[in-house]
Amino acid sequence: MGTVLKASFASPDGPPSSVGMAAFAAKNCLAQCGMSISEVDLLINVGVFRDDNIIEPAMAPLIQKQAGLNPDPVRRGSLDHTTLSFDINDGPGGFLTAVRVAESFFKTGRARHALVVGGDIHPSRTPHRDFPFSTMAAAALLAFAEGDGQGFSGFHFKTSSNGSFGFSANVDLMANGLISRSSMNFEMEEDYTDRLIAFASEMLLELFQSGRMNAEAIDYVVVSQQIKGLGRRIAEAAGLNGKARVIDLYDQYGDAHTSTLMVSYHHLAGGDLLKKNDRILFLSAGSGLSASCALYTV
Amino acid sequence: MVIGSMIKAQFESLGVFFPDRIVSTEELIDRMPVKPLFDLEFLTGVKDRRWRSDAQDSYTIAMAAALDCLKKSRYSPEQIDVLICASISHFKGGLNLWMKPDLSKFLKKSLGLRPDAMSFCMTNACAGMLTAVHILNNMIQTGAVRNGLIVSGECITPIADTAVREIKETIDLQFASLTVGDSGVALMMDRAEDENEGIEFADFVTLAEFADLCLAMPSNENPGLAMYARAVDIHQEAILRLPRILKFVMKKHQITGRDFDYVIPHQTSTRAIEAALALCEKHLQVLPEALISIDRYGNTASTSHFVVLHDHLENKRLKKNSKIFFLALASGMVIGFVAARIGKLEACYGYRS
Repeated sequence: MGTVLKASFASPDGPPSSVGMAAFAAKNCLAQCGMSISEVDLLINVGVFRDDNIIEPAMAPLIQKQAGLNPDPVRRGSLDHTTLSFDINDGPGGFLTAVRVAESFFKTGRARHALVVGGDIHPSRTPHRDFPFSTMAAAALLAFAEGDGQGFSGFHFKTSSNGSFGFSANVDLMANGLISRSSMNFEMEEDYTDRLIAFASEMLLELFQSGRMNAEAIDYVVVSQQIKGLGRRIAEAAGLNGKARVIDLYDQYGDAHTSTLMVSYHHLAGGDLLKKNDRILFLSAGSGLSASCALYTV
Repeated sequence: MVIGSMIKAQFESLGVFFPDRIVSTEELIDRMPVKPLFDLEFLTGVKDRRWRSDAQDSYTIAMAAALDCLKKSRYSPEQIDVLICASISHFKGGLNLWMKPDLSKFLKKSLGLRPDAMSFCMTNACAGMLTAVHILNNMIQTGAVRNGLIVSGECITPIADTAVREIKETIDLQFASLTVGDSGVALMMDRAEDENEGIEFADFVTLAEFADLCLAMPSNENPGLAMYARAVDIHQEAILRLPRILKFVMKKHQITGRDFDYVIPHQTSTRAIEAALALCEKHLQVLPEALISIDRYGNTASTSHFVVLHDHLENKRLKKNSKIFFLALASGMVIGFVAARIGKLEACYGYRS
């Protein structure tokens, strides 16, 4: 029994809005597997950069409304099928954190399906030149499968213990004044990506060397991509030189931030590249410095 | 403790932080160029609220609450498996809206958690802390973690500052902003050792049809944060739906009001609370005593239920081994219920002598 990816969707063609993109991805993802909207028990938004720098409500209910996901189960008379929506902000690690959270709802029987969505955009909703990420609508539908050995396992999370965070994004409301709704300041330390590669690969090496994860069993690596080749460099530094194929879509999509892991998985699943029992290493790395990973058995 | 094959989770310790400065509703109204026609204090029940200093923000307030919690907890920072930051506001370094890395990473490092502990921010408006309780309850029950710390540093008086400056009409979307106060709460949860202790159930629903009735974002009239709430519509839609949801939850979990010693509603305004409780009384058969501290703290957003709980625990007003019915009502619109026996927290605060 395990948490499996039942469907996925990713596209750069959503509307210029974080809510709009996530809703667009949610609807398309559900349409792919022919699932009814009332069957989504959890809607988790992992996108960070959002329309107008809104901080209340969470983005997820706005996405739920726009996607038409169970918006008023009382009026519909369907209180036995309701949706709980909330946001998780864990940067590029948000997807794996959402999977971990959703899995605990599956295991207690309090949810059967969880939809994870993302769609980062500059708060001005324009292709702003300072925005270091690409805007990609993405969604992944999670469910609990009875099958033996399928799904996610071996979750691992790590944050560096020093005082350096590598990359930051914030907006000072007093300094930015009347343009705070459409402003965001991004700062990247000079050696950020090199340190990220070292940090993520050290985490993997620890897992391989301690026997908690078998490097030989990995067929694909789905990984954050702040720069082209970041995943390959992490894999090499961690000694993953064998058969594992690193998915790097940087040339097509750039750094899709919180959507990256879903985009790369969708590429694999949509391209008919996967066969039963293939193993995918999901690996996120980002500011903090933070890294997380889990193994997914198809 | 195991129910069936499932572990039960409990509240292990509770920490709080309140800024020293107290601002009265009268003082706030005095500052307004356009005064409301109605008596705000009478209508909302908010007399005072805590107000941050320039040096305090969501991060410093959350840190102070977390340190207070750890002083009372049997866990040291390196024993914590997950940290969940659940505040709406995420200011760090003044009115600096911090998006990346998320605030939990700063808290995790400053508190000295293990590098391999999980940490993330989870927001769900004023239902944030109770939603985090729901999440952590599931994670502890399934063994994903052994324990966890939920932290919220709500630095929300900036919306009151903006409302004071921007309210121009006698009916204005920013009136609800005048009721808020700053506070920090940290809650440690772990596995219950006693079958009678801990969380019995948590149940939440998002009525997203009304998601845009309350929005908070930077103001476009003055530097700062603003909240625009259609308070009457929110109240009407919630009150209209609460009975059926409550009835459903009562049947699902086989409860009546007799099963609880106290009910803690979200602290919005006394009138809204009274209306919601009147409905609860009708359906719960018996209404447990309602705990309210809105007069001294105002609406403290995601921390509100635990500010009230702390207030009553500290003043030793609760019966021994109380069972509490937490009632969440938040923008989104979120309606949620958490039922928990809090004997462990009572022991932590000490009993009436």
